[in-house]
Amino acid sequence: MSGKKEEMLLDVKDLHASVEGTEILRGLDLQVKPGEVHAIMGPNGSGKSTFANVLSGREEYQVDRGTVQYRDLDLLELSADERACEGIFMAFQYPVSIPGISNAYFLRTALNSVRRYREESEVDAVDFLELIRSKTDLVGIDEKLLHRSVNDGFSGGEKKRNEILQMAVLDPKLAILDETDSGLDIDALRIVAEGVNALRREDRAFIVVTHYQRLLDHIVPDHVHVLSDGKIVRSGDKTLAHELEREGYSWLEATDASAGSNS
Amino acid sequence: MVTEATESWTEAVRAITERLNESKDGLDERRTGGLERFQMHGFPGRKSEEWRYTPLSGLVDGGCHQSLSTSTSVPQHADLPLDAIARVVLINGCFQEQLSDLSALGDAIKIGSIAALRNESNPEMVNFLCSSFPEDDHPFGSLSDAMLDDGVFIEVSGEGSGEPGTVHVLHAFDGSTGAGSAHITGLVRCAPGSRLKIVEEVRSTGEVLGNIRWGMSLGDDAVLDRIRVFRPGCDSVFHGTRVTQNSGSQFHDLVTCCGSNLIRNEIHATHSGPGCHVDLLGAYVARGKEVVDHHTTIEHAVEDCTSREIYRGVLSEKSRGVFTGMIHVHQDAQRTDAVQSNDAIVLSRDAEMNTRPRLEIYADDVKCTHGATVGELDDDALFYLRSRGISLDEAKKLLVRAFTSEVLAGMESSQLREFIIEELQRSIPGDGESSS
Amino acid sequence: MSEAKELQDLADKEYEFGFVTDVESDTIAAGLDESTIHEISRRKNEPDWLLEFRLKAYRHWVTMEDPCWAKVDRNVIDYQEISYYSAPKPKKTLDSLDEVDPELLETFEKLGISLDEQKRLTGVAVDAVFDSVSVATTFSDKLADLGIIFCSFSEAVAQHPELIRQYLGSVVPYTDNFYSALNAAVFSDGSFCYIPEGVRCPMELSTYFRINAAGTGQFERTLIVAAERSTVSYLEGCTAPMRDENQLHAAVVELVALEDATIKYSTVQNWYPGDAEGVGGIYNFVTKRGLCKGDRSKISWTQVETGSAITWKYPSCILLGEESVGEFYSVALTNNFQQADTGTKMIHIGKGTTSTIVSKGISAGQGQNTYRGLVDVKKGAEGARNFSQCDSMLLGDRCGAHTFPYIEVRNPTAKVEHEATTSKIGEDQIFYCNQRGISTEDAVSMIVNGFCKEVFRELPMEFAVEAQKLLAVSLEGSVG
Repeated sequence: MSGKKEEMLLDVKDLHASVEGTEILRGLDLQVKPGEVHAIMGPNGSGKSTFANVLSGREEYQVDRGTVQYRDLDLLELSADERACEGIFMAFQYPVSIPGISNAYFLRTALNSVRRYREESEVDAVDFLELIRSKTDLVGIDEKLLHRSVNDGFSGGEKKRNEILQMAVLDPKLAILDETDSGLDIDALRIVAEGVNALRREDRAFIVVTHYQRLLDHIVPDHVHVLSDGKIVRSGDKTLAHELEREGYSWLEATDASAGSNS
Repeated sequence: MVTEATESWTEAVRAITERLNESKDGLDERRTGGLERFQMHGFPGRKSEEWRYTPLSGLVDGGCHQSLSTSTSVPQHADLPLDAIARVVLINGCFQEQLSDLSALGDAIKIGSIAALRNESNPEMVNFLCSSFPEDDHPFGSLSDAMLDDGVFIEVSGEGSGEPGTVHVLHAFDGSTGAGSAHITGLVRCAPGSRLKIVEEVRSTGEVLGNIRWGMSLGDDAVLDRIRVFRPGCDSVFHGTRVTQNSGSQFHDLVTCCGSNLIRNEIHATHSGPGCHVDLLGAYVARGKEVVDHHTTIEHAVEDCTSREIYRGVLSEKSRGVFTGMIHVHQDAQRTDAVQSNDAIVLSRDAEMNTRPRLEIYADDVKCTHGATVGELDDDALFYLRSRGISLDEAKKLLVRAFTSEVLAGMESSQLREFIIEELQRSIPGDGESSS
Repeated sequence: MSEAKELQDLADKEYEFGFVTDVESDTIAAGLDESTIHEISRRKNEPDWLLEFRLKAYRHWVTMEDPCWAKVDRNVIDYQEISYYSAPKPKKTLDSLDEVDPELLETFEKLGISLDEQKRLTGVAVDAVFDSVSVATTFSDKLADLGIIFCSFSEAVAQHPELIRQYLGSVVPYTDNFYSALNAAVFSDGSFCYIPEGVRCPMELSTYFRINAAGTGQFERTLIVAAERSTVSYLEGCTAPMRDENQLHAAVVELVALEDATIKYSTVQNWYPGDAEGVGGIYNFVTKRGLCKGDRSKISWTQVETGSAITWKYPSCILLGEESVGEFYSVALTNNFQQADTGTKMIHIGKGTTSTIVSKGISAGQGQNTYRGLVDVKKGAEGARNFSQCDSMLLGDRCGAHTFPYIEVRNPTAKVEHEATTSKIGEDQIFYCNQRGISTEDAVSMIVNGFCKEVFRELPMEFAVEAQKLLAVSLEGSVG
């Protein structure tokens, strides 16, 4: 697979993005190869969630400058559903609920949309049920949840697990976890992390956006990046996460002035 | 509907209109117009959609078409526990300077009588009055116009803010020397950024019709709190309010009624600038053959405004409750957030509740909900209380207290709140006859 | 925003049933007076008592005023411009389907209700009403074995006059309202159904209504009587050609449920709604009412209203029997210049009566959608219960959604609850679906479908499918 020129999955260059006229990302660079797990950390308001939303194609987020190459595609040209069909999956921090639509029906519709896009045959109800059963154990989700309306009345933990279940079913190439640990107790966190770990593969990359280090105890990253003021100000391996845990983010302000020269 | 009864009203009204028009206060056109409209439309019959549940026949056929004679006697009730900076007393529609107390008013608040317009021309005030009230077929609006005589105006300037003072307005209707009606026009103007609190109290004795209307205008970011207390034993009262709110202003209204023969409370609030909020709260109890009718309209005409409306009532014996609550969201009123709820407890098999929550929505990005419930007291809760040794009557009162006090929870003065809750509670029959 | 456009496209599905069938029809001249009524009665060979009924209704109708209270704008109807009788020629008694005009059969086939086909399919017996006259009823023989009468109204007048005389006008008297009076005077045909004691009707009974001729009105009458402990499920579908004029449909439906009987009445109404500019379309002014006469009887109305320029209908239940049950489930979609003012009345008279109201209004384009309903608990209705849920969804910012419930309670042991919400499809919901690979159009269909689900699940299966197609949404739920 990895020939002499190692294939790049995602290549973000000088990304500037704004929401309602306020610039949030100010020149973000990031390269992700298949199989890698990247953690994006940073204080509140540093642009972590904005980055995740820009990658998944949310319309309220306007890209002002920069490029995002995804495999051989210009990602920014694609609509949100096309990106999903191309293999980008985002696990939401706050998954919305859709009353009246059962989780199972929703997932099958999504799966078949993706399969149609890839010119694969659609999955019928029986095969789908089989497929989904094989995945529910993975994330420790109660099958009953499949027959309830999408995220409607789910507990925080159930919502997050449901996101991972969807990831397992949709089989993405790049999965973005947006603050997946928020609102989870330690047991739920462990279950979610185990689900993610089980889905780690050589040809699948993860971008894990998180404020805290604790998720990274369970999902061990290859690279850790610190985002501050819309830019990546430091990158390192997993030890960087521990360092952040000990020292917090306050050092960022101190080094902010010098951060620009730091590469 | 023009009936014989309307004829006798028209005759009585015409005489007064003609007399009042001799005073040179600039309101004669309004009076003549009111008389003509009343003559044309009269009182609505039972087929009128707006008055479907509110019988006016008793009032119309009774002796109230005469004017109440002048009086200086205020019907006896325990005084409300208030810490007011001013007190305005209106008896049978006349501003009573001797009984009122305006001595402690600062410069920020100006209070005067409408009748003062006779001696001192004030085109601006006349203009504000005329633009505050529509000239339509509303029977009480037409009567108010035709009999336009006295009332009160309150003006607040934005300066010298700080804690707003409370103005106490007492309406007394004394029919002890003969039946009749009195018509009062009130005006409130709040300058931008100003704050004001009004506590309005209504008392009556004898066969009377109190016809009160208020025109209010709130400047940008002004805040007006109003509490209305209808004391027990009132006869017929029509109370109408039209309020226009400019950007960012807030109007908090709370009405409580205990024990009046016929109360019609109409509120028409228009949001004409973004960022407004209106609270319309009401708690009421009715017994005997009393009728309590709340009729509210909120016009969400512009974007980003919110409204909250909660009315709760307890009906016993042969009483009747009516609630008609319109929320009208205009096409441009995006991001409106309107909540309305209306709950009633019916304690007797002869009582009745008629509820018409109404939503009319022309904008798509809005949140509007309404809920209405009608039912009896919760059996489980009653049983729980009784199993703790509380008598059935006491238990009922306790639950009614819980039910109504939620509406009053936001009241600033806990003393006044307690006073009102006590009065509401006392108005519920406790002899067990209404048991279900 | 592209979303708005897609919503519009979705709502803009063209009217599929706009063809005109080329059959010669026997139409009497436009206009209405007593001689018209004599003429209708004569052509239908009616007995005198029925003519009397019609004339009484007519004489009452002329004293009434065309109502204007509902929240709709409409053209004034000139009742002298309408032809009150139109029947496909040749008109003679039909013995079997084979004798039906093949053009007609083709029409019903286009509508997806091939009568011929129906013979082979199990499950649905159809009575087809074309313009004013019932053209074919399938399965009558099979049903007759069980003692079930299912036939055209005219046939019932001839064959079962005692039942018709007993029940005609017993739930909706001709004095009830302007349109019911008009219908009673001029009704041409319709369906009659009687389920005898203890019989559970083994198949869905169905009537398909079609207005074809220009310048006519359709005034059919349906009467269903379910005797003690019987059960029946009845379906009704409606279509009409595209025409520039507003055609009037003023039907009357009367249901009577005796002790322990259950009637389920489902409607998928897809009359021609008029064009995108609001020209033409059917005025659908229908009086539907059910009487729960016996104890523990139950009447359930389910309706999916997507057609008509204007819809006024309030399928209602009079809950007279003790512990009787009334239900009303409704989806109404208005687009372009369509107006719907619909809802129900639940009149609680008997002890322990319960009613449920679920109304879902969807407004798109410049459509105006009004829920108007009455819950009336009378003095004797000890322990009555009602729950009402009225939800509106707005697609676009030029439409309107209105909710006007009336709640009148005269019994302290009653419990009445009403809830209403208004929503639009959230951008975050669409994005969530997009992010899972679902296109915006599919996402909208899915969400609208979810919104209406509580109503769809009340429909018989085949109707549910049709209803969902009508709302241009894909079927949900076979998974799991």
